[in-house]
Parts: sequence; C-alpha cells; structure tokens
Amino acid sequence: MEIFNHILFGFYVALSPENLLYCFLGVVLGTFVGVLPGLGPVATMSILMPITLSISPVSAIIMFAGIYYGALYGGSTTSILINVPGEVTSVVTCIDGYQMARNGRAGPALGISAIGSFIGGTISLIGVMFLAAPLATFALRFGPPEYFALIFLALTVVSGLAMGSPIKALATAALGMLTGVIGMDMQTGIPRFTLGIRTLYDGVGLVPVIMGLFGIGEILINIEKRVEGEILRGKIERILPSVQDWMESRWAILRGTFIGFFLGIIPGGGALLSTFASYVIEKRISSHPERFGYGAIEGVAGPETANNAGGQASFVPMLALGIPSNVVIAVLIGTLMIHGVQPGPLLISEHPEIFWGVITSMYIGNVLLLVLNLPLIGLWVQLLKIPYILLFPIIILFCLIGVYSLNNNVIEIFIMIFFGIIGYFMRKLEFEPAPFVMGMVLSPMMESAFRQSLTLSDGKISVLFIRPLSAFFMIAGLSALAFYAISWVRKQRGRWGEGEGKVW
Amino acid sequence: MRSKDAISSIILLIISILTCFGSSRLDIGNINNPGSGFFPLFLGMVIGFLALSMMMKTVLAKPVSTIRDKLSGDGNERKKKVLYLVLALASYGLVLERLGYTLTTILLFIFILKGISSQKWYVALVGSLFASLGSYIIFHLALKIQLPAGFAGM
Repeated sequence: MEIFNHILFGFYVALSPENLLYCFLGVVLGTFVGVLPGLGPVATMSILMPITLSISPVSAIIMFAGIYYGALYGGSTTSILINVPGEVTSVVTCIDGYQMARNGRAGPALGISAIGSFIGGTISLIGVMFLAAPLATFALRFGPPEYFALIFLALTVVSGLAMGSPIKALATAALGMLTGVIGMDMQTGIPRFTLGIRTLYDGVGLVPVIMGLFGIGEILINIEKRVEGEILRGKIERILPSVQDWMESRWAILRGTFIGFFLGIIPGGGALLSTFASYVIEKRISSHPERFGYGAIEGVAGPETANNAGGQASFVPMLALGIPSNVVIAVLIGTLMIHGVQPGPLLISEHPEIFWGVITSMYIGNVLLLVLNLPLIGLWVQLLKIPYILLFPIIILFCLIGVYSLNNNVIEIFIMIFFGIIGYFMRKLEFEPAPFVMGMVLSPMMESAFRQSLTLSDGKISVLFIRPLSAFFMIAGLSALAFYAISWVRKQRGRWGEGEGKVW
Repeated sequence: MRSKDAISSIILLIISILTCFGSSRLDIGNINNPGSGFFPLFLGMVIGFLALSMMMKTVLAKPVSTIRDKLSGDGNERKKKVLYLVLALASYGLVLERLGYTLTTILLFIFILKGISSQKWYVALVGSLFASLGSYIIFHLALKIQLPAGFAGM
C-alpha cells in the first residue's frame, strides 16, 4: 500500500500549477525540437540549463524529462514525412514509415506512431514505478567494485550500440573519460591537464562540451554537406488508424512495450536498442515479412512503441543508481548535480519529491503529448518547411547565450567552439559523439570507484570478480567486448573471402 | 574508409602518448594506493591499445577500391564556409565583453546571413537586428539572464 501513497504524493507534486506548466512546456518544446532536424533534446536541455537555475530542481527535471520523451514522439514525424530521422531512435521508423507516407498513408503512420508511443510509454511507467524504488533500496548495498563494474558494463553496451565501429565508440568513450579527468583531483586537490587555464580547475563544463559536440559540430557538418530532406507534398487527411490497421499492429504495440521496457532498464540500453530489437522481431515473426520495407504498419507501430517504452524505462537506472543509460539521461544527471542534488540510491529518501514527482509527471506528459500531437500534426509539418539556412543562425545564438550565461565566462564560449571543431571532425572520421558525453559524465564516478576498490582490496584487481554482483557486471561487460571482437573477425573473414575490387 | 581509420588511429595514438606523458608527471602512486595520475595513465593506455587495434584493422583490411569524395569547387566553397564560421565564432568570443551583447550579435548575424547563408543585404540587416534585439528582450529583460553590457551598456 505504501507505493500508492508514494504515487499519490508524486501526483500531488506533478499536478501543482507550476510543475504542470513546466511539464506542458517540456513536451511541446520536446516535440518541436524532435521535429526540427538539427536541434535535438540534448542541445535544447543544455541551452535551457542556466535558465533552470532559477526554478526548483523538480520543475527543471520535469521539464527536461518532457523534452526527452516529447522529442521521442516528435522524431518520428520527420522519419515518416521526409525520411530523415529527427532523432537517432527514429532511424528504424524511416524504413516503413516513409514508405507508408509515399503510399498515401502518412496519416495512419503518424497516428499509430503517436498512439503506440502513448501506450508503450504509459505501461512502461507502471514498471518504472514498481521497479525503481526496490532497485534503489537494493543498490544501497553496492560498494565501489559494484559501481565500477556497472559503469564498465554501461560503457561497453553504449559503445556497442553506437553507429559504426565499436572500437571507435570505445575510443570516444575513453576520450570523454579523459576530458572528465581534467581539473582538480577530487581526492588530492592536484590540478590535472588544466594547461594553466583557471577555468579548467573546476573541470570542463558539461554544457559547453555538449553544445559544441551536438550543436556547433552538427551545424558545421550541415553547412558543408547541405543535407535537405524532401518534404512530402499533399494533404494528410486521416490520422486515426483504421480497424484493419489496429488488427495488424496491436500485437506489435504490446511486444514493443515489453521489449522497450526490459531493454530500457539495462544501463546503456535505452530507447535505441529497443527500436532495432522490436523491428527485427516483428519482421521475423510476421507471416508476411516481405511487406517490411514497403510500408508495413507493424514496422512503425512496434519500434515507435518500443522507442517510448525504452526511453521512459531508461529513467530506472538514473533514478535508482545514478547511472545514465544514454546521453540525454546523462544531461539530466548533470542538471541534478548543478542543482546540488546527487543522483543515486539515496535520491528516493533524500528527495522523494523529485523521484516520485518526475515519474508521475511522465504520465501526465504522455496524455498531453497524445492530446497535442494528433491535432497538431499539421503544424509540425509546417515547421519542417523552415529552411535550414535560416534555422542554424538561431541555433548558434541559443548555444552562445546558453554557454555564456551559465557562468558569465567567455572562456566557455571558446571551449564550446573547440568541442564544435572536435564534433565536426568526429563526424568526418565517423566517430559518434554520444559515448564521449557518457564517458565524461561517468568518469569521476568511475575513477573514484576504481581507486577506492584498489585501496580497499590492497591493490587486488580480483576484487572486481570476487563479489557476485560486480563479477556479474564485469563478465557481462567483458562478454560484450568479446562479442564485438568476434563479430569483427567474422566480418573481416567474410571480406577476405570476397573478391577484390568490391566497393564498400 | 581506410584512410579515415588510419588518420583516426594516428590521432588517438598521439593523444595516448601525450596522456601517458602528462600522467607520468603527476603522482601515479601504486596499485595499493593509486595517486592522481593513476586513472589518467590507465585511460591513456586504453586509448593507446584501441589506437593500435584500429591501426591493425586498417593494415589487415584488404585493399579495396573505395569511393573517394571528389571535391568539386562547390565542396571547397562549403569547406571554406565552415572555416569562416569557426573564425566568426572565435571573433565573437574575443570581442563580446568589449562591444556588448547586442552589437556583437548584430555583427555576427550580418556575417552569417550575408557571408554564409548568402542572403540579400536587407534580409541580413533586418534579420540581425531582429535576432539581436529580440533575444536581448527575451533572455535579458524577460528571463533576467546576465549578458555582457560592453561600452554601449547593452
């Protein structure tokens, strides 16, 4: 019964006029940036981070959570209408969603995507409510070896899920961790890699790095490539799916919900893995797999449901363990820390208003998104017609204001530009920036756990493999690394077996 | 693909060497009592290992004909725009506190809209005024965010 008291308390917090307003702002803004290619939820949150300092941490996190799942909703619109994923989690939706739109069925594709997201998100939240609290209590038993092993597992899983080579993703994560090391050593107070720059004594700020990598870096590459999607012409008439559409997609929605939830709670899992898994499973069990790729509604319903279910389930490791599942959650953790709130197992007892308020606000946000999205699809389509050439100067302006206003320090603008250049070259050299931010956020926690583990065990690295939980996490992480290595060797063998001159 | 990986692995190797060198100048401590340089050294070694793995992958990969990016005149022009934008942003950072937010932003926007987006002069002028003053009203006057005043006081 205690859980129902907590839920009621959560609704009491989330339904206060102030938090309701921030939830509404979050979901509208999230859908807006999800629809607009070039300005994702990560950059948006970073821009808004200084503004949130004047509001309570619970309001800030409610708004940012709204931006996150709002963007998950919005991202599917661009996938379906212009075949350009608004967010990386909507990549799979392009395959059948765009084909449905080309076949004159853009309305049902958008409709089933919104409804599936609502169902997946809402059911997933029930799981979050019942799982996060016991997990947080359980996590109180975690010592430094368990934390080190869990972070190691999260980083290996994230690196494996990144687009392209896992070696590159691991290297990016390691570079992010190295950036996280810059500044005063927490234990000895000795400055490390600061190059004598006073601003760096407190470490490299998360906001300039994110703005640089995701905001400026993306703009620089877009100016060079000038990528423009072709907007689908014609009017979108019927949004609500037909009875036949429902019959075809109902099981896909149900399966998507469970796939999303269970993959979402794995540290490092989250929404991305869920969408791919859902699509593969739907195609495999379909009695007409040949329809996939040509506008099968299950190919939209399953991944879009899994997308939101996974996105909301990824709050479990954040709220219970203080470990981010993806880069957006990493920014949320950064926001909590800026507000002086330490995420982790103690969050539920020290800040129950944040823990329960954020979870219940997501119920309200899901309803708001459904009510807003279905009638406003026409408006979002109009947004897609804003030319990028006019959009990017505004994004630059937001980045500049966001970075400067955090500490009123012009050096941070230069740090942002530096990481913008890094982000540009990362994209040119086919490195994904997301593991960098994950590594940077997790680095201080991982270093502290690493040093404490070695000190406590008199320098025995075997401490990571003796304790059952840390052994489980370490073995899972090492298995993931072994899997990447074996996959690479197999791929190379396949290539060596093929004839020369093949273009790849 | 191979050339990109080769470049990446060399850059990573250089970062690894620099990190290990930088860490060695800190107190590394020992495995029983790790110092401030211990973890960075460990990271430097991990980066080095990954750089060597990538290098090995590049060497072992069978030479294949790849699709090369043929740089057209237009492509070079766009690359120059990237460089100009970076320089413009750096200049913005240099003069922001002296000239103040509104004037610096007007100048930046004129440059972006005219020089990079190739808009007409009147679009660049009106757009820059609108962006600068509009953002000043929203962020400074309404949201009370501190922006550098400069000599003009705004």
